[in-house]
Amino acid sequence: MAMSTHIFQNPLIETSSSTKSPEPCVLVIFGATGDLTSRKLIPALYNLARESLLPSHFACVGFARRDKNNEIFREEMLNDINQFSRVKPADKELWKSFSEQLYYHRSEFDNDEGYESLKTLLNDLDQRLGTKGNRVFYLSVPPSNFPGIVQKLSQHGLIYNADEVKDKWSRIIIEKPFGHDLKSAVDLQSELTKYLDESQIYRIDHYLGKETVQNLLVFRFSNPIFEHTWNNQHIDNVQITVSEEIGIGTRGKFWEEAGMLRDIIQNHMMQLISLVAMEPPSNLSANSIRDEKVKVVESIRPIPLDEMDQRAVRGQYGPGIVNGENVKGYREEDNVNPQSIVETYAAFQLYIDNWRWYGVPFYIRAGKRLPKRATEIAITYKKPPGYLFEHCEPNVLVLRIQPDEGISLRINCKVPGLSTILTPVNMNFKYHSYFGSTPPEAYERLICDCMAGDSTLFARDDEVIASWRLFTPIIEHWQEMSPTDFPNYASGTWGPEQADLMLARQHRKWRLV
Amino acid sequence: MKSTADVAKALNKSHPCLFTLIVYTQDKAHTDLFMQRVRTIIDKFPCRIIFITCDHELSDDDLKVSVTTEIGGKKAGESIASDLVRITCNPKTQSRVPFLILPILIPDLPVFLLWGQDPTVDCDILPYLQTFATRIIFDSECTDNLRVFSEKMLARIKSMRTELVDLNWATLRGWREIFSKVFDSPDKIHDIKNAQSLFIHFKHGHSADAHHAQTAAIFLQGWLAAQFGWTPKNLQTENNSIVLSYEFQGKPIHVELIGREEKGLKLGDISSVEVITANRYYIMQRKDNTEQIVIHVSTKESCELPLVYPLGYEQKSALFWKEVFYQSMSEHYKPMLEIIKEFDWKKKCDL
Repeated sequence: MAMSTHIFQNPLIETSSSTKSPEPCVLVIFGATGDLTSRKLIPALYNLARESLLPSHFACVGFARRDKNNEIFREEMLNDINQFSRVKPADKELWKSFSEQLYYHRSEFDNDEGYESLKTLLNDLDQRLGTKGNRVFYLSVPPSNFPGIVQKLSQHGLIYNADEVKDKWSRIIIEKPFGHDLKSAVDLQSELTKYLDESQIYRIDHYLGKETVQNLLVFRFSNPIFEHTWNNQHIDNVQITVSEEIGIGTRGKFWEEAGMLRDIIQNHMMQLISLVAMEPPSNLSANSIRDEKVKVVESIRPIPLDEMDQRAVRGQYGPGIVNGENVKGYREEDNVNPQSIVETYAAFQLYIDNWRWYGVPFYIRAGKRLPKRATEIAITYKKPPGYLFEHCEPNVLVLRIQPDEGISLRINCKVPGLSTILTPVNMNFKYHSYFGSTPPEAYERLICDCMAGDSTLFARDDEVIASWRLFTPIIEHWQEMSPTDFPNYASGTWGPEQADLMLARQHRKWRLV
Repeated sequence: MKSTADVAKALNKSHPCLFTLIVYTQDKAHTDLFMQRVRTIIDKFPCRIIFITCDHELSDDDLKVSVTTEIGGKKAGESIASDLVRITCNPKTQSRVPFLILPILIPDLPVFLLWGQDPTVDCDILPYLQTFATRIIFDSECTDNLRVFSEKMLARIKSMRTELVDLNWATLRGWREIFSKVFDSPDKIHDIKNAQSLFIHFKHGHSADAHHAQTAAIFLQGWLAAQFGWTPKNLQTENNSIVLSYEFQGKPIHVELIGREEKGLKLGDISSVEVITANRYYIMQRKDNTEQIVIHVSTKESCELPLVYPLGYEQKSALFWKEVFYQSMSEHYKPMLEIIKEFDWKKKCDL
């Protein structure tokens, strides 16, 4: 088939604008009656509309099993915006026009008639609203449903072959987990690529939509002062912490299947490591950036079996005190097996075997029911030679991802007075003080990017597979060797003692967050 | 305050700051207008503002300085602290102002100059203030001589390395985006390129700040003309309208800028735009004088469903000021000025 190479360049669009231009499309949300839609997706779309970032021709269709119509769906979405949007309450005028773009389509996920009627609806929206046949399918459903839904979409002509169809496009967005181990991730990928090209698959990791995470690239590659010391000549160790004070809440059933390694470490944490450790990309295209990220993951040295217990620590919270209140242990939570061996804490000592990072330990930890909520990356530099000044603390650069978003640098300073006494002080930049407290939500950026066809902030298949390749042996080892000491940390403490020992063996300790 | 040292002492407080903004005005109307704009900026960005007013009625040796810390962001439940240094001088003492402000510019951060007077009228202090600025912001609405303004801006763009911004052009960003979304296919672009008529309605009138209400409308049509290669032919005024004629591929294009009473809008705000082509009729109209624009497109046979789009870039919004402070000059601005300078606006356009 001859392919047209003519690309329409609209003379009215200013290329100097740094705002993306998402294309006309219909966004279909599968599982539209779920939490994610009400708390994140619809508020995100509303805020995009508020900032004139939705495409000119746009509609959103909620696809779910529950019995509703357009009016009920719209009313529920209005309540959700008034509750969960970062800017509320909803503006009346804006809501009026925005709500007219929301539709509800009731069907089971495996019902052929449901897909045919969806197709009719989407074609009608194309005619009436000018959405040009472009489709985004957001699968806000359990991963076990992904292959079935994608197969039905393909069967009913709702997703297009990217090689053959050029005048319109279709994309799917899927949420983590992308599989639960290496085999299932590979299987999922095989299932999806029966019907889709990799370019049509957008794997959301909402960390990548956070302003502070996006700032990692800008910080590293627009400030040579740091980039020149960003290596094993100058850095002693890197610590990455993802800490939550809350427990698993009502997600006992989910957590029993998942655990901390699958929920945080395999995905969010690996994104942070790759952004911190990557080489400068050759340009800012999606693939150039993701190529460099994949190289990091592939360079991480697998943990040998005989070092697993020292370099891979797991924990489970017991009862304790958080925020001044007594809280129960994991095994007492709803829908959790009282003998559960699922980890709510995981910490690892990793090494990246490349020229930049060889020999620098990356200590990563994530846990529930820790003393406070915090996600940060702490780069500890090597101490200076101690012959000039004693008691010199190493410089520490901290990138606070959330909360209290910002960057601080610990330096040494002379205490004013007649003697030469050193004290560490912090140079501190806080987002809130400079830019206010309502930056765009991650999902706003991510949905907008998908509609604009920019996959930079989405995980690629090889990134996901490389990460599972690294962690699957650990999962298997942990499954084989049941822990005998769970729960092994009290809620409100910084995790199990073994995690402290992991660093103490190397004469280091976890930074106080 | 009497001395630079006093000013520096008063400013010796540590709080976040993104930039220094120097504002210059002369007459009261412009001073009031630009102080309103400063209040909007303070509400959204922690910064240091140096507001210079040249008051011709001030006595000969007088130069007044005051320093305050302004707290903004209250509506959003935030607390943004900015320094406001107000300097009032007269034409005689004006020459001392650059010496006064030099020590209080914040090092290593951008310095923006917001020129609150007619940019076509020479002013002694402008060259001095320009040397400090990393970005100079003019307001084309302040001038009644758009031809001279265009020529001077084009000359500046050619000769100056400093970023140049036009407030009025930034305000039009919302309308430009709406146009790009309405005319988003080769078919529709062809349509508007070969338009028969274009009507732009705006709120007209005269105000104390002496702003020229027709400037936004003039720029909007100038932008379209530049992007589509329309050749300027003629300009005249009829009642409250400015009528222009262009030509494209031998065919005439009639453009009319119609000033009228509009409740709820500010002077100069565009209320609606109509485009008549051989195939279609387009109207983009404010809904009840709000920031929502309803778009109707129809042919002789049928009507498309109306679209509603938020206009955005309203001058009270952070989005507008981000555009002013952080965006590079649009590549569409210069060609638009080239069109504008083809017409003799001053003689013909006193509405």
